[in-house]
Amino acid sequence: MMKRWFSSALIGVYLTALSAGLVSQTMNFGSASHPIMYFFVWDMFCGWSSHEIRYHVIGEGESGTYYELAPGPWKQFMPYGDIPRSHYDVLGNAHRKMALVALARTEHEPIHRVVILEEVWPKKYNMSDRSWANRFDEPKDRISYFWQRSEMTEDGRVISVVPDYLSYLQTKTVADNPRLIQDLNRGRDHYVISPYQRYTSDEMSND
Amino acid sequence: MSDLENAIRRVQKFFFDEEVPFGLALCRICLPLVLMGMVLPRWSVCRELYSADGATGQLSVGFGYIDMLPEFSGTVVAALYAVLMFAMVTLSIGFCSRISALIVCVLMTYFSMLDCVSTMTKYTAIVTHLTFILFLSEAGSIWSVDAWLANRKRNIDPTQPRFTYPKSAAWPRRLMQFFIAAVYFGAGITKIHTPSFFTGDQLQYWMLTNLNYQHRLGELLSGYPILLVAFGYIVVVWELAFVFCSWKSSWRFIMLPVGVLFHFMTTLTLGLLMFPMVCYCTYMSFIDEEDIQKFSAWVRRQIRHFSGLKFAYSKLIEFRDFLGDRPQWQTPARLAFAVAIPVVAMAGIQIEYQMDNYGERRPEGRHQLVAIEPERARMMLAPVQPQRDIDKFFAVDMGTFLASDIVANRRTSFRQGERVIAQCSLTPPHEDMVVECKIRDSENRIVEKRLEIATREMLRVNLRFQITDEMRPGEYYMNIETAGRHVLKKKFTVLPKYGTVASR
Repeated sequence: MMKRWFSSALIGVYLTALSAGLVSQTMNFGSASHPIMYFFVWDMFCGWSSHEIRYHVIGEGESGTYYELAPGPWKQFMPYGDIPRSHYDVLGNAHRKMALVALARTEHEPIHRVVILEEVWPKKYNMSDRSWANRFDEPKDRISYFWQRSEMTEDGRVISVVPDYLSYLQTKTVADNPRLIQDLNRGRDHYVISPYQRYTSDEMSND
Repeated sequence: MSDLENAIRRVQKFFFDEEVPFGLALCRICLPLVLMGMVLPRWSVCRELYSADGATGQLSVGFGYIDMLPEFSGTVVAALYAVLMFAMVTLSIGFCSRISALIVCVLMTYFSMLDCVSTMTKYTAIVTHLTFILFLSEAGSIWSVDAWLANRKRNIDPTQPRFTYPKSAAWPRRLMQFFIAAVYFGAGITKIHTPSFFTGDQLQYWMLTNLNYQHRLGELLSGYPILLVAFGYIVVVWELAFVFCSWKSSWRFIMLPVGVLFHFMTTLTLGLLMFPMVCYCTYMSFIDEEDIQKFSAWVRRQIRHFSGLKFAYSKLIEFRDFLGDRPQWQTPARLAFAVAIPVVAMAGIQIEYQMDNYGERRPEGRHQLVAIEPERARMMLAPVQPQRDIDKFFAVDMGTFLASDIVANRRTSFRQGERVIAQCSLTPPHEDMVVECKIRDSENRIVEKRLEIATREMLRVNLRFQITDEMRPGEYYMNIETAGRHVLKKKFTVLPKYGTVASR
């Protein structure tokens, strides 16, 4: 009997958790509130873009030579085909660590800075030449846009970070509106001392 | 009996009916074999992917929890990873099945969460659920080493299997069925939340990506967005209906084969390999006793018909008799499992050390960093160049009618009198643009002109014009321009009007 009660409770808890994940996803509420939600929200392939992106982690040596830091000079791991792992780090979670590992495990001249770049091109250029010829009357002329995402010192201290290239393009499309930009600068209140400064100055005076 | 009591009784029967766990046993056997395809390639780089000596990318960071899980040294990770692979093998053969399932569940989840870059995907999340359910179930009670070592009850009836299969409650199998139904329902909801899915654009871009395995069919299909829209609708309906129609009824024989076909197509068109196979493993949970009985009867009939199969079957029986019944080995076998785990861990540490992932113990010394060509480095570090107009446009297609706002009959020859739609597909993000279409004849004279505004949220803009009688049969060019700058060119042919002498 005890086992039956335990099983019933387990069934109830499990089905409730699955339902909570579905409700959270459907109502778009709390679906990113905790890592455990990844196991209950089934939003497969929701964020694909029109551009192909590759990530480059490079280091500038004392001599001015640039070195590839990710993938490292050892055996490359390609998780889903023929593209190294570093290109799958969309959130940029691991690029810094990849650079530090490469610097720590290799012989190299002193490195002054580490730069993380995005290489972006529209996905239409991924078409094979045959498919391209079927659809387009002009030759394929692909160029890559390189976008400097962040810069670090050789010990991994971040000096600058900017949003990704597609966010930049998105922002640019909005900022392309002169009336909007004018409105943005019109009628703005000016603080003699902003609330933030007032708060920090209070703190300083207490010190 | 009241309706409520009746409903309760039916629910109890649904979850607690005793059955032989054939489906779960199949899942237990197949899932680890499938997962080996993912786990084995990562073995040689486990130090780099999952340890403090490498470059982990914890899943929790994306949720605002910085380094939620502890990160161990490369040596500890090598040991744990070896134990994971060992547990996958023992789970598949059904040796200490329950504890093996638990080890796989915990370690697989841990390693996946440490590497959201190249390990954590939705199928690894599915694996967490499946192994957890296998841990709760009696999946190891049949077709396993555990069953061989157990005190099994012999069948006296010669028409029955030699041993009586142990029965257990159906609820773990039901949870697995509910789980996969929830996954599909959630996936359907995601698609409903994504408007560009129903315009075919998102599918088109999925099929053009190079991030997954090779998928030539995807590239081919990306040229036919109207098909993608149709398939997109079918998939969403199927995903949402799965939870209602996949239970034991005549619908099951439609829903499950459609599922098998759907996942197979994701392999061909999107380059997904592991995801379909993991989903196929969950489909095993829809197999019940009746299905197995029917299948066994079919196999027996085949054996009777083919002498080769009959011979193989008799050899199998001989082998089974040779193995015999070994309940006395149960306790030593469990002890051996407990001893094997540290032994495997030590072996894992040693093998990983010998592999020397970072090449630090090579006779020629540590690796040197690879220098980048100065010209390429300059190009990479130069300020970003303005986006070209051509890169804001995907393609221009011509036809005469739209379906789901997509040119449905893509053509490059039109007859006089036809109304042509020139559709410019745009690549988001793009700013508000003026899109102009100029039709030029073979002598480069402009014979027609159309202009439209494409606002930033638009994914395509349609320019309509008539092939008038003044446009004489022959070759024409359609030039797409924005702000007076050339973007795309499309050649097309004007044919004489039907019914004219020239058209014959």
